[in-house]
Amino acid sequence: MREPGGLRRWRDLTLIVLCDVHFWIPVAVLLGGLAVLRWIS
Amino acid sequence: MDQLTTAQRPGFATQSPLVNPDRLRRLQSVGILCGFGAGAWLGAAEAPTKLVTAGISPVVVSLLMVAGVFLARWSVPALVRGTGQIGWDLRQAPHLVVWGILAGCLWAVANTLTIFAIRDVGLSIAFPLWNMNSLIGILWGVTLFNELRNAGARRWLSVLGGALLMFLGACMLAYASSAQTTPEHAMRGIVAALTAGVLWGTMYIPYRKAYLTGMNPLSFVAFFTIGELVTMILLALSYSGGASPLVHELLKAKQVLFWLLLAGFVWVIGDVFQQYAAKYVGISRGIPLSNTNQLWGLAWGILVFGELRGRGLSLYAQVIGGSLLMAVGAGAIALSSVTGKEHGRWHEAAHREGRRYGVSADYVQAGLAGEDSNNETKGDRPRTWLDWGIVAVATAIFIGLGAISRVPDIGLNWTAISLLSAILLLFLAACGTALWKATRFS
Repeated sequence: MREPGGLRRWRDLTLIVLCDVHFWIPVAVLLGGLAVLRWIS
Repeated sequence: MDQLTTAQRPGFATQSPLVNPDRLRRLQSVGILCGFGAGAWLGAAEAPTKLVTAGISPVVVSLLMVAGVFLARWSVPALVRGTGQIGWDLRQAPHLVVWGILAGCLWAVANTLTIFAIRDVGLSIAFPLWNMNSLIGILWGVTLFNELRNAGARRWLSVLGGALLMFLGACMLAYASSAQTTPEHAMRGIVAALTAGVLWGTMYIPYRKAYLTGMNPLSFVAFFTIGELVTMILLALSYSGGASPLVHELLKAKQVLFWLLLAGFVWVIGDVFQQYAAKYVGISRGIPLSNTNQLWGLAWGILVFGELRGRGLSLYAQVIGGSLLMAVGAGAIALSSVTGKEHGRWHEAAHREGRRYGVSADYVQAGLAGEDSNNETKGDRPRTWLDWGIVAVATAIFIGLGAISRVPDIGLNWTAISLLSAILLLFLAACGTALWKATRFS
């Protein structure tokens, strides 16, 4: 089995992070927080 | 995607033995001690900011604190473990850089929201509202990371009941310390405080993700602070109207820079203990314990700065009652130790993360057992010129800013300062020694 090179490894890891449902919970909360910040200021 | 198939590769996280019960008990004692230490240091971080009475924009105050946080978050790990260990962690679990930066972004936005919440409804109302972050933390701990699973009804009751008692105590303290404010934008302030609580509660998802995977807390905070500083600079630029007005405000604040950076430094010590608490007792127990910071913040306010002086006995009764409620709640959580069955469920969550991201089983297991995963440097962590350089630069900045700082002309109770500082140092010594003996800061 071929070990992934540096760039390939980062690309794969990025894809895994993006496919992780857990990742989108903090992202959604962060976007909501920014929206509230914009509203109150 | 090669990484997706790593579960089938030998050497990647699939199964590993549970941590033995004696070791588990020891790690939990360390985690609980760190939770209480975090509360004391996080609460004390409010004290230097009270010395800043000049007309400085709240966003700039926050930015300067974050600058102090940045200095501390690189210099403390360099001193304690060396930057070489951060590189080791990065190679083992590189995906956690993204999670660290994301957590830093969440922190910065939440912190800015609290500034607006304090402006609109006052600290006394805003504080308990954003401290509901512990309830959000419990929610994510249970649903995403198997915390409190197979823990039994008594432990559920202890943790949830304890968190609710702490929330009630926080409300009582808030009511007692509230000035007669007539907030014009109450709803806006309440929404800001609640949103900050949700953001901070959700920030513990990346924390837990990192520590279940085996990441060392001192490495994680280094990545965290990049997201924190960049987001805070962007927010400060946005609210100040550009780079030039921001620089002008920073120059205007040069006499108080030291105090704000000091606040950031003190905050980091508390946060490091909070990270270890999250690692060893989980977010559902660690976060409520570190929320005792409200109690310590109030102690500094009353004893050092003379807040509430000359007020009636009923007010002091409320303060004592609220403090007792918080203490009982924290005690209930501290006593609800993790059982072997529950820890088994933590293992499942940890190995799920290991399989997903292709992290070495040894690395995950060492993290769960509080051991150094780097066999090459076990017990021997040589510092490099880079480590000493980081420490020297941070120290020089603090000394330089200290030299041009001015002590504000306000009445302070120096006996109380000495007493509370001694308590802080005791916590530092106790938590530091316990962490060193049990985990070598792993």
